[in-house]
Amino acid sequence: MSRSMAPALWRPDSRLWRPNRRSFLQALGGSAAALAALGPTPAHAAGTADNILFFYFPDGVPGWSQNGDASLWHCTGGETDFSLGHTVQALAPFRDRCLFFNGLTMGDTDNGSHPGGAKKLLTASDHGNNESIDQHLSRSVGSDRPWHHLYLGAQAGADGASGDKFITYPVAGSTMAPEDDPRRAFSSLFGSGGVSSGGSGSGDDGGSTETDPAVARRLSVLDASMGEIHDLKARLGTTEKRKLDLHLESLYELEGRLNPGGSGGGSGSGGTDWGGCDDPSVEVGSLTDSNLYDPALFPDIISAQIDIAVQAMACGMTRVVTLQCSHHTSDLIMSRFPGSEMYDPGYDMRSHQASHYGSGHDWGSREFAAFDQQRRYWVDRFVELLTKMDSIPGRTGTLLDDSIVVLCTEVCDGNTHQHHDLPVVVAGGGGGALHGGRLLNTGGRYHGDLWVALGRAMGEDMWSFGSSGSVLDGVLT
Amino acid sequence: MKPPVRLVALLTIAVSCGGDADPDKSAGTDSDSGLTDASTCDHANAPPRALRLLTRREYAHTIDDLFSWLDGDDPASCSTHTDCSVAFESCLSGSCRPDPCDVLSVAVGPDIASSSQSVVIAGAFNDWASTVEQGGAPLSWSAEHNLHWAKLALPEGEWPYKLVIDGSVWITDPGNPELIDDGSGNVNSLAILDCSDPGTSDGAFAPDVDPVSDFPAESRPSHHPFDNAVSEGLVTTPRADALLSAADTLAGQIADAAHLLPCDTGASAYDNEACWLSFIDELALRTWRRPLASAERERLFSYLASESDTEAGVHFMTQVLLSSPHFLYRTELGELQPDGRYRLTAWETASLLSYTLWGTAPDTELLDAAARGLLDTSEGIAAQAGRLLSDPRAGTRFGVFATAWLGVDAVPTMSRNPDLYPGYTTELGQAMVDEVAERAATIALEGDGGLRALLTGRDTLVTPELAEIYGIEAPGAGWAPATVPAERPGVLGTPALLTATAHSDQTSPVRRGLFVRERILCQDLGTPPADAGGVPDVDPDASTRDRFDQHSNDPACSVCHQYIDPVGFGFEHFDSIGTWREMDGAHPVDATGELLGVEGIGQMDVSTFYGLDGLAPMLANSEAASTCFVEMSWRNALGQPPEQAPCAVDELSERFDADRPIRDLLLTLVAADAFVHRSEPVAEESL
Repeated sequence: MSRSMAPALWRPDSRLWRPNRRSFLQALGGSAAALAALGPTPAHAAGTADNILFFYFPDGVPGWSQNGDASLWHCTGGETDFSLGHTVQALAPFRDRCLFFNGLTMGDTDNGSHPGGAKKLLTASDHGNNESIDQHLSRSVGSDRPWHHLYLGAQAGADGASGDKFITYPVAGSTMAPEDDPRRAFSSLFGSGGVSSGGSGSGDDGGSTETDPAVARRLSVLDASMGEIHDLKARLGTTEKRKLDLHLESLYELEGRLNPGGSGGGSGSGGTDWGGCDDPSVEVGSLTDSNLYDPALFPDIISAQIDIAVQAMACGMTRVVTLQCSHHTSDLIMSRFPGSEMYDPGYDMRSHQASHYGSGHDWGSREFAAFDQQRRYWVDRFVELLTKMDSIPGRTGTLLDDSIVVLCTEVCDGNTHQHHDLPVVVAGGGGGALHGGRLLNTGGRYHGDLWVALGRAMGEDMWSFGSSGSVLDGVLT
Repeated sequence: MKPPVRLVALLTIAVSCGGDADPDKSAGTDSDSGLTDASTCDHANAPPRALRLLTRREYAHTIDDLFSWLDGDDPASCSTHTDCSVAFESCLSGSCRPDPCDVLSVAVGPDIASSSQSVVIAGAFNDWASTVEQGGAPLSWSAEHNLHWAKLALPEGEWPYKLVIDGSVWITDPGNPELIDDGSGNVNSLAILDCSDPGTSDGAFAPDVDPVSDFPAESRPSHHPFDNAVSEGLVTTPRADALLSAADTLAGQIADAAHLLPCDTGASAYDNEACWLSFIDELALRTWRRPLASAERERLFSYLASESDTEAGVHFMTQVLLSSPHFLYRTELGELQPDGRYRLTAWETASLLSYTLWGTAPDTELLDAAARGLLDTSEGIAAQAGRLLSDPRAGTRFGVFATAWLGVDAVPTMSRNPDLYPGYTTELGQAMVDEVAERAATIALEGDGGLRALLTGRDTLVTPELAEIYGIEAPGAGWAPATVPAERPGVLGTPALLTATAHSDQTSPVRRGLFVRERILCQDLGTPPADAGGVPDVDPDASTRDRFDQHSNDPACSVCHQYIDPVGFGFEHFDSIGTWREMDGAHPVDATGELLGVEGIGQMDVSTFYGLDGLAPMLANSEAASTCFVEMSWRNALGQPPEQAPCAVDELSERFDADRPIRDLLLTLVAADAFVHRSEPVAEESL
């Protein structure tokens, strides 16, 4: 399958959030106080991560088979002298900045269920009865950025997926949809899609930013809306309080983007641009409005979303990212990915289909061979992400050294879909907070304990999360 | 011919099928409650008070209607001028229209002349008579609109005039920016009546926003296939961002359309305060779906008047209006009643009726009915509901319900193997979905069709491409009525449903069986037990049926799969785009199926059938299917699970079977006591 068009380069018309000192001064009237407000972000404590990114893929791994075959994913050996599992071999160059785990469990509730696992994964709570860890961190340590949270998808909404197929929970029990379209994600972050200088049109007119009367008007509108919501809350007491609180929170975040240094949401100065933000761009291949869910475009889409996530972090626009590839029990036809090992135009092999490869690791089985290829494909995408982050200078070395990057999925072995021995990898230096290059044999620790540890690494003073009441040992320096 | 049924029995059995009891089955009332017309439900049964965020679809229809109204396309019915926005509309031939070009329309607020004062129009056309006795044209006081008004039909031309208060105070018309000096130091108002200039816009005035594309998708929780789940209607930041941008764009369009605005944007807002206040009232009625409190009216006017450029002020005010929680949320809060429940206000009832049956904001007649108290009784509600159901918009809305209920919405983006299905395109997928919507709307709202007609009927509308899939001759060049073969009755036999429940290159008895259980019978199979293990080894050369037969032979799987796979086998004659097939690879198709426990998981009655024409009537005959359809209709209307009002839903289920018209179900549902009552929620829990 060849592309008939040259790859399309998607560039912004104006850069709303490029750290632009001159325009920032304009917004503050050029006062001396404004000068003092510029400069690096508030200093982080030594050993704190700047960013955290959750990279999710569906339908598990070739783990412990029904017949008892050893997992191909999990590493073996001691804490430092361990062997990488077959499926994660591609992580070898990053080994000393990775943490591998054995024995993490999501508990017994709904064990054996894909949706049950997806609900627990980021919420650390049975049935998804909690905000997810990414949303939680976005509200605490992530709230000093214009985007408290960036939630991107790669065909996550395909085939009518919704509800428990999304992994991010803004409030207990309710999910939200990721942004599946990299063009929209990019415009929202880097384009002028945030503000239109005129009244009508799609908003890509460009134009000046902070002094734009449209910005002032939007701030006034936000103010009016927030006042109305406060009045409504006062009248309603506890009725629908959660809904209105979330609405207010969202408006405060938007206010923070339009009014850096204002009352909404922290400094919003955009963080420190370490040079990865000179010229944001993303290649979207032959993506159009009508082929967003064509599996043949998946490789272009996931690469584009990775690029966008990396640039958003490098530009200091967000500290918390979730990148969701497809969704559990996925009908994603991975054999249609051009240029991949799985590519086979003559035979459709889907993610969930391959995950049910049978009772044992039979390399002669079509499903098992495909499942192995697919899972290594996901690890390769993770490696692509780490490589891109590692190419950007950072505070403690590179952006990767400054960050935490988590690879996860909602079950262990795809065939048995157990919730035990969760296949998670934690990569990055965490700004010095992570103690990498090790295999942690946790002996049955709850996976939420890992989220607590990572939250601490991000600088939040947390000791529990969801059903977890402890910090996983051995993760932090 | 319904088997005796007992919903209560379901709860005790489901445990054997891998875990928890079915959470979706209502608790049910005793079968001895009886079938009476009046509700016997305990008053505590009412869904929780709620704020319901407009869905993308609802937002789109609402702003479409708003723009049509601004463009004058939606004339309200009237009998007098004061039935309309009297400051700038006249009642002509029973409809409210912008004032005709040869009418001088005057309106002054109480700040100019109080209700006890008299105002007349004196001008060149009546010899400047300052009193009624001398021939001055009197204004009338409208308490409803809080202003003095008059409409004078005059010959075309330019007419100087003034207003006279109490026979002695002469002022220029505050609502008319046109002034003329009479040459002796007097400045008069000037009426310019010119019918040669049409003064309308080129082309349709339509919103520049596409909510379905521009806003984030709604999240649909388990068991709720519709986009309007109350619990999921959350304004997350990405959604807030999209909504703010949309309001900006729309407000700009409205502010730009000076010729459609009733008041002069070239003048200071204060010069036309009465006019703008009236406009704000009308705009709020169309967006906030209720009358404004005076503090709200004042605040909105202050936004409009805050800019020296009135057009910019209109933009700002309208943007606030469209960003407001009063626009974005349909409230279902009600007013506290002595029995402790909350009765929806007339305005909330109008919104609920309109969004349920039309998927858009209430029209003028419905707003009028609310104002007049006609929605305070279930008879009044039923009368309006009957009107709404007779309108084509009800068919469109029902089509949306049907395609969501059946899970076929995503078909246009589903991938099919290009070698096996070279003709499958996004356009064909969309046509498949459209067929289901059309068929459902026709059955339910143009005829007297019931659930049986939906499940077993054979009349539909097809394009030539769909006809080919159906295996019939194309009835016309475009969409045309057709009768499908008997082997593929009802919605189960539509290409849309068969595509949605199949993989790209093979059928899926499991997905098709689960579809029947979950969407037609509302039966939840629960999660697999922890020790279920994976799928046993299969013979890749076996037929689809044989491969899944092997799965069912494993006792760990068959506990649940006996309810699923044998139902799905009945679909085996239909491939991944719904074309009839005799062969499944090298094997002849065997579409023998078994329907185990049709009235509930755990019940062991089994019926054997062949193909969809065997299955569909069985489903139609079951009480579970009728109950399920009622529950789905309830969810679609309320956005809440039926467990929130179990008695009311049970009563509806008791009264309906597959042969009662769906229109009757909808009418009874919206006229039900529980439809307009809410309760204080007990605790926040995920549903």
